[in-house]
Amino acid sequence: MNDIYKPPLWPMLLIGVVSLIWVLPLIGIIMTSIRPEGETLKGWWNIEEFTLTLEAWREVWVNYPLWDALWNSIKIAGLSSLGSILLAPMGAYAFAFLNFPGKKVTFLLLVNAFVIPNQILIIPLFTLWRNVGLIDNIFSVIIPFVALSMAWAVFLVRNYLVDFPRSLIDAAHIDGCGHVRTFWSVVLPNALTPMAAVGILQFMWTWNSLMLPMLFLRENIPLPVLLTKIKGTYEPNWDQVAVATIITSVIPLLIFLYFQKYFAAGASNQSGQKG
Amino acid sequence: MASIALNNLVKEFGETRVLHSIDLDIKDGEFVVFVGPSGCGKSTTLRMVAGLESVSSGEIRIGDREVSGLAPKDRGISMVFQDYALYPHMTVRKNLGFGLKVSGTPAAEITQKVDEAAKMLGLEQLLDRKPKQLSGGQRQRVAMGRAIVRSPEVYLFDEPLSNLDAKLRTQMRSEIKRLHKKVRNTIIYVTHDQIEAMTMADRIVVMRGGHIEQVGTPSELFKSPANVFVATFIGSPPMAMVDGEIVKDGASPMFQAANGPLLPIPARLRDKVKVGQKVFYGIRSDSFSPVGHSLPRAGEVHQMSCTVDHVEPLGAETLISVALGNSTVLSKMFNPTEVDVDETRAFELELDACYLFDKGTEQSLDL
Amino acid sequence: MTALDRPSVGKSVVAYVASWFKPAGGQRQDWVAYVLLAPVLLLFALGVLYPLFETVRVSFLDWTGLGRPKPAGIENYTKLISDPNFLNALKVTLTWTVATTFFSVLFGWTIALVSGLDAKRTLVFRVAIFAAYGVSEVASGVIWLGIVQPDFGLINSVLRAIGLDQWAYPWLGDANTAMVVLVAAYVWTQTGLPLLTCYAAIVAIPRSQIEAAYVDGASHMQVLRHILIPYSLPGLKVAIFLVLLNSLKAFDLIHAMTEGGPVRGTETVGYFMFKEAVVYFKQGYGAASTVVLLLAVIVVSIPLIRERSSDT
Ligand SMILES: Nc1ncnc2c1ncn2[C@@H]1O[C@H](COP(=O)(O)OP(=O)(O)OP(=O)(O)O)[C@@H](O)[C@H]1O
Ligand SMILES: [Mg+2]
Repeated sequence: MNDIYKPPLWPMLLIGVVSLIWVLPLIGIIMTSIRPEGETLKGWWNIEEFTLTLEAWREVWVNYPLWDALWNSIKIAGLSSLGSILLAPMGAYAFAFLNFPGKKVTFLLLVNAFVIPNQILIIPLFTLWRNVGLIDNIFSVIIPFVALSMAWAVFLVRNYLVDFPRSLIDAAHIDGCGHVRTFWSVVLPNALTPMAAVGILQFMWTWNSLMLPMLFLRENIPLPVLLTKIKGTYEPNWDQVAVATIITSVIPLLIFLYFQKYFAAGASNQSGQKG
Repeated sequence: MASIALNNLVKEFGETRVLHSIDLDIKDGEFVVFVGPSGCGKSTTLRMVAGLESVSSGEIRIGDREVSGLAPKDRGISMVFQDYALYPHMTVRKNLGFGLKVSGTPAAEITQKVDEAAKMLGLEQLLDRKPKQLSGGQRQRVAMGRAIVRSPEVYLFDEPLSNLDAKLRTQMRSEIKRLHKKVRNTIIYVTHDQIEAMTMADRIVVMRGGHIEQVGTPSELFKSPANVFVATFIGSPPMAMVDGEIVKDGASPMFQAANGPLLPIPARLRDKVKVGQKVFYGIRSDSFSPVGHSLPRAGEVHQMSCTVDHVEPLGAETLISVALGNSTVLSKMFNPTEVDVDETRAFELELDACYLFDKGTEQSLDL
Repeated sequence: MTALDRPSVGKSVVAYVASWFKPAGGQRQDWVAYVLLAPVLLLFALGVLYPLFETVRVSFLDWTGLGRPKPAGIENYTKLISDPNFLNALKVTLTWTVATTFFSVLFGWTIALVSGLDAKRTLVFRVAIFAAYGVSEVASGVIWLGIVQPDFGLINSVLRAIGLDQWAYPWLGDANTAMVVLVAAYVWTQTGLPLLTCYAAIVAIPRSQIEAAYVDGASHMQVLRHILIPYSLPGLKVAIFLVLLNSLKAFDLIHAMTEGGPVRGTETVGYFMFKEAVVYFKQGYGAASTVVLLLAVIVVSIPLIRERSSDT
């Protein structure tokens, strides 16, 4: 295409300048994290004096239970993703290939639940978890996380399976498989792409969530909850807040950038369009 | 053993009926080919026999069992799919053995049977590859191998060769035929290619619009097509249908082509026509040739002169189209010489190889 | 009716009832579907349906603190519509939703269109903008707190450095500027989404079509106007709905930055319910406001739901 026309310079310049607005805050947070707090009192961009120090990067682990929060985040996001990865294809298989009474109603109910705000969950689930002693147990958030994910995850996998070669399923039936065996031995091994997409989207979403963990967890809090606590302390140390922010963000950010194409699929999927 | 009987078989998808009461008996060990245009219900019938599609009404018997309630695995069948349907995540070996594994066959026996089938089809070198690493022809063989391994009583093929190129297709055709000679199992083979049907079948079932039009051996269908559809579907190039009516010309009835010449009626049909009856006069290109360029003729021959419309040299022979009244008829010129468009030549028509069909019912008057 | 008719009547009733359990097409039933679906549906019932119905039920209760809930009829709702704080929350929600949706979609769409003219050299910048969408709202909130911090925050420190000391301002201390800051922060996180969907629509344009336009002598602006914009519209539509829904449900960012303040100036309905139900222990009242939020969300998503449903 470069043979035919040369793109003008202005789109690149324009987008470049605009992207500064997105990058500057990120640079700011990094700068704040690697300089002594006293030095950034005139703004992190002020480099009359510049001392590189990893003091905050060491201190923050000591002053705050960051390790525990990181571990909790990994557990919560990991288990939630695992749950969605395993359950969504089961539902998707049923909706894509099977006939059963109530199919349409169930499907519409399930896949349209993605509009439901999380706020709906907090009063009933808090009461329920308190009654069954699940408060501060990570499953108090994993259960609703996986449940909420079913709406988009089943839809995403089903849309993939709808284009799955029908004859493979027929062949499995001829080979003597029932539906459960067909699902397990033939469909699952060939549906790794949508399953990965579900896992990644769910990991990002659960890692970044604040509301439910903040309400249902006391001690076993994940990173975002800890971060609100750190910045909420009277006279926070901004260099350490910056470090905590970076630690909170870096894992999902890397995953996000690495797996961008899955988000494209996920986003168009939510709207009912086929990716 | 495995004869197959379809009795009053009906299939409906929602409100639309796609199979209207199919009746068919297939003998044990017979190679039966279903042909017909796209959408006529061949695959649906086959899939009902396989147990992949439910039966709306009627019955399917395999051997002496009524199988419509049985799962595919309990019917003693195996199937080869048009797109081969090889499991992409399994090696060839696993693909071949999967059915046996599911049925709980001991591993040693699976290995032995897979090796046997691989040897029969020349797949030994490919056993550890995944389907993606195979050529189209190799995939096709694996698909056949998967069917063979389970040593079923009935093989079902759904257009198994249509994804291959012409050369490979011819080769696989004879290979399947050879396989059938060896195993002597009952085969139902679906295709929309009449050449495939003619070359492979013991018996051909011609279907159209959810009905069976005619059942017979390849030569029966070629020699006595039951109706216009079968006559034009079987044989290549297709039989030409000349539009016209029966008139009285002296003592014997004659065929008057619409806006065209008067043709004599084949002797065997002279008693069966009525004056004024609207009919099609069916002519195959082999039995209509320029004088001096025809096959040795047996019975009555009618000569006439026609103007050449269009010429298509094929090498060993030349196809000539001429107009008979409103209809176009193809003529085959054997030992061809140069022919010019618009040239007028004498042609001869072998009357015994011609057919008459009632225009209203489209049925052959031979019946 | 004669006695002879009866069996056939009985038969037809049976057939009719049986037809309820027979899906269209007379296909066979796969009861095993319920086995596969059971875990999904059980979890969904526990984690979504139960809370949904329970919230609606609680919204008709007078239930505060740890006391026993009492039936309250529609009292919670009548209180809501005369509660100035709730009316304020409605107003804030409207401003918030419209502003965040408008700006994120406008920015994301424009950036997608402009980069459509030069996909290669804008890639890095696009990814940078897109990256913010992967940062959690809490982290984004903290980052933006750093920007508007009154003493050493980016804005005020720059203003002071260029001698505009009198413009330096406690941005989050004033309800109006706090709203602007909050909207800016949210737009910063959300712009990646419209960028993603619109750009996805644009890269799907057949190359040959754009090349043909250039061969025909079209200018860049004409390509933008006649090819890129029309093709981007489906992505734009998706983006509007998704950002709108996100904004309506927003909670994390507000909690991280302003907690609804100052003086409830940034308190949306989604945050109001949290304050009433969790901070002030008024579960019944909070539930009623949540139901209002739910209704708003449903109304907004009707077109989306219809599209999804017709897909099946
Ligand atoms: N699942 C289905 N739902 C509704 N109609 C169907 C379904 N499967 C097939 N049909 C219809 O049944 C008819 C017969 O289809 P079938 O696949 O048997 O045709 P075919 O003879 O195999 O054609 P082809 O040569 O194209 O494979 C067609 O009109 C088709 O549209
Ligand atoms: Mg077919």
